[in-house]
Amino acid sequence: MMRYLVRRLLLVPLTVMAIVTISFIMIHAAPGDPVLALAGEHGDRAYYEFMRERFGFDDPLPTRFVTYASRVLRGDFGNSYVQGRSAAALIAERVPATLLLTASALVLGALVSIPLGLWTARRAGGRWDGFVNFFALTLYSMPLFWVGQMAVVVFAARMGWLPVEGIATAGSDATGIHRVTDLLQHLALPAVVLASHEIAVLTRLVRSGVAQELGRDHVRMARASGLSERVILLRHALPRPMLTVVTVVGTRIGQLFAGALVVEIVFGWPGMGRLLLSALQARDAPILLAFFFLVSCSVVIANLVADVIYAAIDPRIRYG
Amino acid sequence: MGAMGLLALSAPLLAPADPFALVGAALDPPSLHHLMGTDILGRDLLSGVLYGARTSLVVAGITGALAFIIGTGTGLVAGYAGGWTDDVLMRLAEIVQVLPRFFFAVLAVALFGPGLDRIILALAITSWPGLARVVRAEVLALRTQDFVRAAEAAGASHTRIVMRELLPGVLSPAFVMIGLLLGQVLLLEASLGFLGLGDPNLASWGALISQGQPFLLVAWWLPLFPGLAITLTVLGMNLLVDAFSGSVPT
Amino acid sequence: MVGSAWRRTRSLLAGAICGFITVTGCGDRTTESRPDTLVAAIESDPGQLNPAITTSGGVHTVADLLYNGLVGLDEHQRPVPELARSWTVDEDGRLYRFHLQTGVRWHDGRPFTAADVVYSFNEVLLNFHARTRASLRAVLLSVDAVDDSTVEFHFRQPYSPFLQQLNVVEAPILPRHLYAGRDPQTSRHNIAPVGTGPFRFVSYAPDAEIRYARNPNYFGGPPAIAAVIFRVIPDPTAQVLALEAGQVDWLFGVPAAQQKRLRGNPRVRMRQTTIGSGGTNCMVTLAFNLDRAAFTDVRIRRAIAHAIDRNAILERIQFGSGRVPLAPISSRIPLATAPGLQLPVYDTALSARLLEQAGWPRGQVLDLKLLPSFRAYAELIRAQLRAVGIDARLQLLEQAVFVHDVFDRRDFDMAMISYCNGTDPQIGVRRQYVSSSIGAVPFSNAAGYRNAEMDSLFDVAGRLVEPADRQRTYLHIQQLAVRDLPYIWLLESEATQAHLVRCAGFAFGAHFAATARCR
Repeated sequence: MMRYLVRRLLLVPLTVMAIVTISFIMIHAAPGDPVLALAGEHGDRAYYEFMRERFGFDDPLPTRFVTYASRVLRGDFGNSYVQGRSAAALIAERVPATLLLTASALVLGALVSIPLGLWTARRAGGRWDGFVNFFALTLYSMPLFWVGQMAVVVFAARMGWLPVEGIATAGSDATGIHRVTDLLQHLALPAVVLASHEIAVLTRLVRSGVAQELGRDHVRMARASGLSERVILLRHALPRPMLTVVTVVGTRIGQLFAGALVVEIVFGWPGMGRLLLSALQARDAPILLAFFFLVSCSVVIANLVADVIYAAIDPRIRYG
Repeated sequence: MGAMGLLALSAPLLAPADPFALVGAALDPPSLHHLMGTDILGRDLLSGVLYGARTSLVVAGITGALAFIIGTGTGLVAGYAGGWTDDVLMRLAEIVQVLPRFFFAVLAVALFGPGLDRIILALAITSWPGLARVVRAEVLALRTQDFVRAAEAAGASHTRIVMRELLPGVLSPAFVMIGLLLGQVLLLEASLGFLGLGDPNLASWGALISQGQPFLLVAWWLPLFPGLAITLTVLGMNLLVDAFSGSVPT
Repeated sequence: MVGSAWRRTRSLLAGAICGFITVTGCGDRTTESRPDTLVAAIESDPGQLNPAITTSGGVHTVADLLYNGLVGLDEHQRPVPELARSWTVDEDGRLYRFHLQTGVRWHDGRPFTAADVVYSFNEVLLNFHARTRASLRAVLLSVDAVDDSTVEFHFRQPYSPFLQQLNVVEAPILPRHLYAGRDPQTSRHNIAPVGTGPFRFVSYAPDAEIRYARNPNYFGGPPAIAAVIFRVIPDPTAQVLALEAGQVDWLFGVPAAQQKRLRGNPRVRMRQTTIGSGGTNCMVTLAFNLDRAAFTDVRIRRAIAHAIDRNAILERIQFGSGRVPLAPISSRIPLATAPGLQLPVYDTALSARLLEQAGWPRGQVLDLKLLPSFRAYAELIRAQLRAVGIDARLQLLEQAVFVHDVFDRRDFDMAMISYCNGTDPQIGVRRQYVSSSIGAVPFSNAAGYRNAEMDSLFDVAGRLVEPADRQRTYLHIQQLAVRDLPYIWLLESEATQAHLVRCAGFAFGAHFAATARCR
């Protein structure tokens, strides 16, 4: 157990260095000349050289890598070519909105999938079980951006029920509870859309885990001792499958962020997705590097946390 | 799923038109002439969807094959050889596994320009570790079994043991993993097309949907049909896996 | 950072649970509840708000309301007083003398003086504003403050287009007292700007909204509306929905496809303008790479021109907004009016004949490179060329690769480029045709067109001061261009702006909101 944890922790710096290297190599092997685009229309040769020098493009590659790696590890990703401001600051400004969206989607996913999973587990093999299973698979088979578009068309454009764009009503000076309700209205559609894949995955996980537990001895014994069905489900059948849920949520962080990106684009949510898209279009290397690094690292950390929780709680797992 | 494969293969026969040719009025709603309607330039959407199936299935197929070869190969070698080989390969797998697949592919295509080869490569590179780990675990279990022990005792070569004794045993879990993977690859390919990162000279479902985006309010059919095509194909894939294994796609 | 984000998230999550149950129906979401505020939709976050260090359309769209140029340009692109109340031109166009407005104050209360103008040109515009730098650095001798309210510009040679280059888009004036002595590209005032313009900066929430308030001391008279809010709405469909729902009042551009929908809405007014986010009087152009053997024969270029149905481009891609060009230079530049030019018309039979005469090898594939924003044009052209037996393979490239491939490496067959002609051909058009601008400068002479006669005509035009003389020269230039066809001029683009009828009185140009009123 200790050996496993130590090894697991040792792997983290190795992985982080690998991520820095991979992203750096990719950006520098790519064709095109970011400075030429920056110099812009009407820019002359002298201006071009001037900009190249400003951004340190004339240093040899290894020098740039060493500089970059040491700066990255201090949390400094350099300044955006296009906007001239610190890439870390540009990203940090957008983190709360993305966290709000992803966290809401996760909470929503849990709120829907746990009851639904429990409900179907008790009817395993039945008609409703089959239906929910099929429904979850269908949900999981739809591209999120398409679900988003369809939601815009149906709920917002045709019925006019919900705002389809942004995080708050423009220029709203509302405070307190009004501000919160305004935010919730804007959050509703994107969060539900982003949650749809989580709901699909987690419902099936809970359902299959709980159904399995229901067949085990400790649950049979609990039943025999006359405990209520509610207690049996919540106290005896649910805990172990919840462990799997935690692990799976941990390993899905990358996909969750990827989903958040396209959903943010469809709904104009002011999170990191928009920034990534515009950085892609402008080949804004500092932002792209920072982005790739941060998402990868959050996946590393989420995986680590999930693994550690799993290892700490479940003694059955052997770590070879 | 199979039906979609057939449709995709026979796209040139079935499709009423070249997917890029101007064959009708702009934004014609679905009718007998154009079953799925036409887009803003007057191109037949049905033809686009059929040719798009080809692109999607080529990407998914080759990515799946590459991931299968790399993943199964790595898993077999790691599980059978054990020791430091196993350690190195599995650490490598763990490192690659944390690379967020979508962001890696977006970065690769954005930096190296749109093209099926880059999409396939980026997706395959990031898709094998899960498979490798499953195969390795399977091999570890199989190694201690009598028929493998017997082959070893009979002096069979390593290659022979791996190919004849171990490989058949890992095929079925490997195929389930690949099945799950294909569904994800189809969705990822669509997302890349949606972000405008696909090959503009090939019809693609994601691109069709993103081209419909400005016309959401005036031409509902533009995003609807390609989106349905993606959903049905991925659903077919997932149902197939579900029927065979009851595995839960994550 | 993380702590506050979490606190915010946690408190919101608590609300979220009840919220999802009781959502809908509460609150008035429209702008009508705040009558004196104008909400404008923008496509993307500008990143920073200093218009003097960039030619980025996104920055100028938002930031120009905060600043002024020495002169403004009216609806017909004629110079009108702004920070300069009057001016004189001496020495045959070698000396421009500007008399500044008196009593103008920066938003922080400090007085505006000639020193601000000298600083802005010498330290900022001539270094960092790509267009101003490129056109003025070589010809401008010095900028001098004669006294606090008089500035002189001395040129090496007679320079006629200067008054067209002094508005807030080309030469915004920055406050010297806040910028001097520091790197203007990383100044903190770039996101907390101080200007002299009709509005002053209030707040900036990245990717969400930017707020301005009326400048009550504006020297041109305080605006009627109390506040302007720029709201980032990336998706054009969502912008239209937001306008219809009354959540925004003003759109800078309505995609062609949505115009029909808005036309039927009695609460919405639309108007056309040739001032887009990329510049003024833009022409969507197909460039031939004349270095390629495929295009050395002018009959091939003519055949391709005859194969392209430019009316279809106007109708199907722009839904009729814009116009089919009748000359190589934008029809909106009066100096360059050129009637009676014979541009190739759509005629596939003639095209096929020309191809055959020129011995076009069937099956040869042409690379057509473009920025992703021109994808629809390129897809239509691909289909039209296929009809005469020419295969075009599209390559969508992002800007860095596009300019590298097209202008630096010259590795392309055809390229789609929007050349913004600007308000004077010496600035916006010359770069497209003279041999000295072939090379690694974005959006220069992409065709690689070399013609000594053309070069000398542009040199002559730049020194002429008399409009009639200049016009005659530009006619000659355009006749040459039509004869040699280094480009095909596809479309004069126009943007369609839209606003709710509750607001009216919008000005043309950068200070659109300065004269607006909302009910």
